[in-house]
Amino acid sequence: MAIELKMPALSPTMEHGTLAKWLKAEGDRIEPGDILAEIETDKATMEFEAIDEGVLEKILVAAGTEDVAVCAVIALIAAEGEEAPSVPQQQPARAEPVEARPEPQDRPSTSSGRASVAIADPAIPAGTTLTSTTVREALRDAMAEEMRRDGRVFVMGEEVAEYQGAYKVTQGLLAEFGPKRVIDTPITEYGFAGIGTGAAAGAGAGAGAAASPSPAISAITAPTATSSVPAGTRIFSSTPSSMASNSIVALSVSISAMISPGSIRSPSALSHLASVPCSIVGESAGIFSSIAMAQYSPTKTSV
Amino acid sequence: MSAPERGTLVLAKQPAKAKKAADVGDDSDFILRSLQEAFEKAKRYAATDAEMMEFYRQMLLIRRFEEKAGQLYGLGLIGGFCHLYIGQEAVAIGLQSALDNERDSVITGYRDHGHMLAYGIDPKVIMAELTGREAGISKGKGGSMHMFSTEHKFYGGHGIVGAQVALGGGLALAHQYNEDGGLCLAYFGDGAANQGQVYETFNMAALWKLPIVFVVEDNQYAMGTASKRSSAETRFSRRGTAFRIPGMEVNGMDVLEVRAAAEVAFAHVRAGKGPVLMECNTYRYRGHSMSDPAKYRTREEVQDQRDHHDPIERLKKTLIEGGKSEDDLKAIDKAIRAEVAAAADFAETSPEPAASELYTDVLVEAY
Repeated sequence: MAIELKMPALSPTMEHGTLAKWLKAEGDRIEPGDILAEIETDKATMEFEAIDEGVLEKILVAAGTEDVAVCAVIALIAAEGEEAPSVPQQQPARAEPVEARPEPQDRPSTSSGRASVAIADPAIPAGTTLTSTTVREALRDAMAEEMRRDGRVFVMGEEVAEYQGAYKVTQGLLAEFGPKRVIDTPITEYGFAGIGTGAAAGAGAGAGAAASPSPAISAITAPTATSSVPAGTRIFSSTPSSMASNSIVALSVSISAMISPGSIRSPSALSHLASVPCSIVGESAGIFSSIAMAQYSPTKTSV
Repeated sequence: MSAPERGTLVLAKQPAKAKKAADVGDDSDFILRSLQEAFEKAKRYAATDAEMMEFYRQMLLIRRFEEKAGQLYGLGLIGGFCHLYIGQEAVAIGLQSALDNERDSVITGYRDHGHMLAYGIDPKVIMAELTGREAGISKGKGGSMHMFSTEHKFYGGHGIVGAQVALGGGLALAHQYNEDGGLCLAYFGDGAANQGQVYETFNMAALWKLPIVFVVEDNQYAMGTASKRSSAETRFSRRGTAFRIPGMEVNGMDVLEVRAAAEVAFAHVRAGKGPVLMECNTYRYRGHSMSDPAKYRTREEVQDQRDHHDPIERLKKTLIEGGKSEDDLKAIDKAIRAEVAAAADFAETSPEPAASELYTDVLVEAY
């Protein structure tokens, strides 16, 4: 009897997930411990590890398929010496997202995973092509853009370096920019919010330069608690003068957007931060993202 | 074992053999980290005559300036808060005389007039800031607690107690990131020393070996609360040991001792060995701020400090013993009084900022 591989629940709240990618093909030998697929949950992309031994006989859910229900059969493994199994009765369950979406749009094809989505937004210049991406990747890409553009930008926070971000919001940044610019901190948010601000304040003024219009080191500090979701802080600052003390206290900018099944969030608010036109397509499992920008008042001093 | 005293906790004595080799290793690793020994070797800076005269002049400038500021406050020309540095002059002057002003940065709390004056910044623009005039160093928009001069690498001037310590950690990180060879001197008080983010900063500073000298200006009172009443450990220089930061205890009423301590601490930091925690024991003669009636201490205590520990008098004594005449020193005082009077006049007559300044220095870019 073939072994049914079922969609695992990779977090306690997960009910559906996206089967992002298969790492094994039909006919491949499977050993216990092999990574079979990457599954996107409401919180992160997780690796699906095999515990059985055999040959991957049939893939029933294609890569890129969204809204695969937990416990749906996604593939079949034939044990050694088995015949080709029959197709099982149970079909992978899918949610019904289409009618919930307010605007008409092209449903991204499951195999390519990327398609342009038409969204009317007056803030975006005509002719801009849009891409659909996850909030997590949009945040990461925005940080990477800024870090490539300006060598003074660094990111600092809990698990941002080696762990790639508690929910992978800084994935790949350590490899690209190195440990000087991607800094793991202890769990001391108040401390490094201050250290980030101070670094931004101190770096810009140098060699008796007159007040420069561009900000000094922009420190992106990312406090992430274990139960929270990707949070990032962009500190726009040059050198603070009056009210600096208030801005220190108020400095966390946490970015998390609640996306309910089927809704599309306007990109203008996030794109303002990310400087990237993007659309965020809702994931039915619910990626948290709500934007809360605390009050701050970065200022320049007169020099 | 003798009978324990009533009320003491008696711990069973561990036989030495029961300790594993690892424990002994750990114990010797846990030591009270301290630079005190190095400091004791040269406890008073061997200043030249010229250096001492300069220390004298600078401390006296702070003293007279602060006295004048107190006066102007009483006349209603200075509003808001005004925290005077009278009595603590030796700390700022001693430490900042050892700085490399091309590279090093400084940050402190709200008792910042002295630190600003130590840079040699024109007292006129500082007094004008106190009186809220446009010619003030923060365009009259900061006041006593928010004086900045990024040109001099002085980053304030902060109202929130203890906030400047984490910021100072950041300034040090910037020095390290830019590899500019600079260090950060971060001052805070005995009250601020109990803030949580101070220890968060200690941890990260030690972990990453940030080039920072933490200076606790222990003037024995956190506003109305004596440090004995608010701190379990009043020897603040010991508080870094948990993070392996060496400490130093310094007599903050002796400018030559403070300067000597600076030499030891800065050498340690510049050698890349990480932060230092320096405790400067000092005293403020006036209340916490101009609004403080200071009923929490006796007049006798304050007078005793004035009579026996005054930093300016101490240096004056050293100078006179070294051959300077009273007249030389009086001449300095006279010149300073004139300078301060001119600053006060300027601060009283200088124009206030235009109303349009309400909209400037608020946002970095237009939104």
